[in-house]
Amino acid sequence: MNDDRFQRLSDYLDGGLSPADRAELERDLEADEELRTVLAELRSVKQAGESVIDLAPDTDLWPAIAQRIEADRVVDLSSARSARRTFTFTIPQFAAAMIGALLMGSGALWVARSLTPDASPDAVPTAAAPVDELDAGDIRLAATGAVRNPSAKSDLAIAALEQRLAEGESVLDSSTVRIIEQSLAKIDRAIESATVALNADPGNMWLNRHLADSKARKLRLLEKAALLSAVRT
Amino acid sequence: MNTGTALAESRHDDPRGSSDEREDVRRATAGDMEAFERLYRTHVARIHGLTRRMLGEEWADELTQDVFVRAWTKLDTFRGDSAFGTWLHRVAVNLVLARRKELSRSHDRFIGDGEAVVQQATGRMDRPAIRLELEAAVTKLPDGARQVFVLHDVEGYRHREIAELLGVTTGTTKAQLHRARMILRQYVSR
Repeated sequence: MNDDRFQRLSDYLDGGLSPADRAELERDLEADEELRTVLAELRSVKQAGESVIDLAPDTDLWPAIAQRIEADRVVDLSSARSARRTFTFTIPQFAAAMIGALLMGSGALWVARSLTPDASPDAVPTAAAPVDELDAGDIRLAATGAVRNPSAKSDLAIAALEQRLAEGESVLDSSTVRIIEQSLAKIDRAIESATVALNADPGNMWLNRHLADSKARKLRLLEKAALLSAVRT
Repeated sequence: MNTGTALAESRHDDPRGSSDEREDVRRATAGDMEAFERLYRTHVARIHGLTRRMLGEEWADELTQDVFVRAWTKLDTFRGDSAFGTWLHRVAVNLVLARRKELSRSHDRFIGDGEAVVQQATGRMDRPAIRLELEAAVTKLPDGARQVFVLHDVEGYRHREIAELLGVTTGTTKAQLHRARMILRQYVSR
């Protein structure tokens, strides 16, 4: 079975032999029954391979594929942004950025305070549970500004408060809503900038702190706005 | 990724693809996920079949996902010279071969006496399901023989193309194909 004639059967089937080799093999085939049997079997295998049926997978793979594509899109977007932005600071620029961040934080705090009759939590005891479905410990932790790496739970708190605010928006007057939205937009830009910068420099302590502070500011603003909404409901 | 060579047209492909498909490719390239999902639905069976035969059932789902995610990221390199299915198939083959290299470093199943493995497998199968037996047996073939058999007899690639993909000579691919067929012939002769 290992002689050269058998070795050449596949080439013969695929039309890969020279005319002379083909003629020689065909003479052998006429004389050798075993050779003919093996050729018939190999032909059947080749035909079986050509006629296999492709079946869709048992599980629909599209949801997982779509999820991965969406995730890649987010990463690509962040990468493109970070590639466009190079953060190089001179000392005066750095000082200006710090002052800007402080001003923005103060501004957000001022807006937050201006949205409530009294910023003191004691002033609105009837809205004692502004974020009652959330883990109060997580919110306090985020709100202290001491969170260097804001957890997913603080993001969850922000999301929940945003939802609550959206639901209660109709009870707030339009000018209040506009101020809240403008303030949130400023803070969101600060968060986005810090996030993009951190993608390029994950170990930067200042950027981590800036991100944590921005998220804490957003959390405080949302909490105040939610309180105001609850009071007016 | 070698997409510039003349590719074997796949078993089922219209050489340029249907006009609907070309439109879906255009839309998907522009970021339309729904269009890309239609392309997925059209081609998933074939890609899954390829990955299953080349690497086995356990890797097929994961690798099929990888193929479509890779295709999405590479859509802008698809020039439309061939059918989308042919291009996608080449993406799949390249991924399969890359994964095969990774796996071959850690899996003994890719090394060894294929005939013995196949004989064990056939003994456990029901006789009526010849096609399924063959499919199962293909996944048990020695690695090199399996790659060449699937690419040549199932997917319709030529020896020259397979040799290029695998980085071997056509003499090697012909020998591997013959080896695979000789092992598999026991299914059709029983």
